[in-house]
Amino acid sequence: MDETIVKKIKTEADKGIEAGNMRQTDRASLHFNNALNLAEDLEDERTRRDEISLLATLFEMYDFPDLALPAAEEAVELDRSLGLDSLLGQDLLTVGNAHSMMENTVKAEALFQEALEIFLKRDEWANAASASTNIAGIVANGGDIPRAIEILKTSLEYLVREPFDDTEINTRLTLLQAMELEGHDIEHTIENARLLCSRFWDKMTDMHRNVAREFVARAVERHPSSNSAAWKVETFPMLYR
Amino acid sequence: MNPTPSVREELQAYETSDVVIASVLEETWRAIVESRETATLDELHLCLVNPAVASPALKESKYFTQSCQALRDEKLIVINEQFLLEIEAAIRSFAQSESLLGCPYIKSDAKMFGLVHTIKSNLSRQLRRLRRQTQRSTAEPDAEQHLRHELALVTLFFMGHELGHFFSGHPRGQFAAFVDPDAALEQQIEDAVVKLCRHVDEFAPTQFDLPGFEQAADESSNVRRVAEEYRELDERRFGMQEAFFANEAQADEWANRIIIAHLEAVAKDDLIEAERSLYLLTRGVFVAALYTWYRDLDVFGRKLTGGSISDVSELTLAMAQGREQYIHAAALFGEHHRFTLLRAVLALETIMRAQTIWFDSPQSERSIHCEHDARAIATDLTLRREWWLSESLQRYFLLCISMDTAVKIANVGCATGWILNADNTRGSPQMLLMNFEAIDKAVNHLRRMQ
Repeated sequence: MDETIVKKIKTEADKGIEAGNMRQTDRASLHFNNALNLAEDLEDERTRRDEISLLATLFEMYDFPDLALPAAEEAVELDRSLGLDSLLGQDLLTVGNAHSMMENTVKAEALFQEALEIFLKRDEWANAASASTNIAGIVANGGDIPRAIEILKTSLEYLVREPFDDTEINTRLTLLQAMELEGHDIEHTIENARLLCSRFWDKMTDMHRNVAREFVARAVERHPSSNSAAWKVETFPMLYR
Repeated sequence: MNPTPSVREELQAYETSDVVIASVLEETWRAIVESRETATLDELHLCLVNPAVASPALKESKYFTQSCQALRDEKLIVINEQFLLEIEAAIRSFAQSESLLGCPYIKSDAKMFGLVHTIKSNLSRQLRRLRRQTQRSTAEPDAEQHLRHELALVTLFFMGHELGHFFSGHPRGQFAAFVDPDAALEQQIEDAVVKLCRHVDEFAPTQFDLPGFEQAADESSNVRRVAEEYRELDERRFGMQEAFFANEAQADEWANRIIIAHLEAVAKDDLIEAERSLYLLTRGVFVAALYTWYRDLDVFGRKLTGGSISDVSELTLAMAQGREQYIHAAALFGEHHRFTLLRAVLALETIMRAQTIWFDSPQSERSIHCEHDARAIATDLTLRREWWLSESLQRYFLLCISMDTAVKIANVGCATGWILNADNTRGSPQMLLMNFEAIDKAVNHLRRMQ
């Protein structure tokens, strides 16, 4: 029974993805909603949790926080009743992201904090970094840039213990923006930019690269060696070749 | 053998099994009974009609309504339970976001149509999921209470209108008439032009005029002379429609009075609760108006194009297909009702003017935006009260901006008779492309407002 439902969920989710990719938002929301309806009918709690959690992440990716929120909240409830601590932390992040997308920042921050505590207790450093960077984003948007920078530096410390490229890209990009806003020490700013570009340039999306390009250009202008073409090429070969 | 119960008996015997609707109606009823505005009312009955279980006879009777209606002779108000549930689903969907500008549905027309389709496709499922959100152990303790209060205030607003029909001596009145998916679109040019000119006459003095179409609102213009010729074709019928239209406006004024009296009564005991109630009322009326407008646009778009429309740019193209499109578009404006968005705008302005000093404050000292940090708003009651007001004002102004499509359709529709005459004189039709504004553009305007 559940197997048949899981197949139907996939079909509806695929239709939603197809509509979403074609920017047919109204059609996508209907298919995604159908997928969630089906997932809620799954009898086995663990299967239900897995399908709903997956859908919540999918809804978030396709900019449906209104669907992601109830789905992720349901997944969190199932995580708690099934005693799935690590997955609980990840689903809390999804709930937090859905709240964040709807500008419910206080709720989002509390959820990221709860997730962070779970990950730290379990020594899941990459996940902890993800939660911590999300908190920094909210703190920065609230205007407390120095605190946001401190939190981002902590995220990078977590990532030293357990590297995870996507989170490090996000963390260093956010740090780049925060450092510029704060007028941070230029050597530290350039060093963060250099590490971001040298380590992750090939893994960055076009959007990430464009953001990095703009911020690096401004940071370079503030640097004492800004007139040295050789320094620029040496520090940022991917940008000044 | 039991005798077949009369339709009225069937209506009276029905009791909802839905605990949320029951508690909302109880709260609304209490507000009506305690209101100083209804003190002269010696008898009033409230009945629910549920189309899912109502007999065919009841559905075809005078008691049936798509929304909410008053029958003065029987001192009876009837509410369609499905209508209330649909509004509840829309209210709960919007309430997932704390601020208006964080709400995903106002990011695009497609998102709004998506919400309409989702609610219509499986209302009970959708409601069950939305209701569950406030029942979780992690939910804010007051969330459910506030949502029910919001729905109760919106229901009071609907019922206030029906009570207005009683107090004004109208034999019958109905809160709204929505686009009927099964009915044919308007074909009669005279009906459409006379109706749409009536709406233009109401839009223009309330600052919803259309630059370039001033003649549509000018009764001495050539445009209106043609419209008047149509009106003379059936003066008696059009005269009756105008009387009904005036009745609706009168009933709306009563709804405002009843709401204001209620908020004043709450303020006597608890000023902060009254401010919160004003915010919740604005939030609910905003959702009800915007949701039903998009639901009507969806039905109209399907009937006009044979398929669904996902944003108003598609409506722009569909409306440019021919003059008759503006005749068909008269369906968007109900039968003899005032336009839903305008009613919400006028009501909210009247109520907010009565309850706040914002509209009378100097422009340099007022803003519709609240600059306080979200954390500060969550913990500081004074800041939260400011935030409630700015959120209410934003909703009011977004409804004002969203009037754009209706204003354009009404004005062009009102001028259609004159335009057709000009086409005939010219020997060929002239291109007329009216650009309708998508909701995300309206939101951009709102963000730029002070």
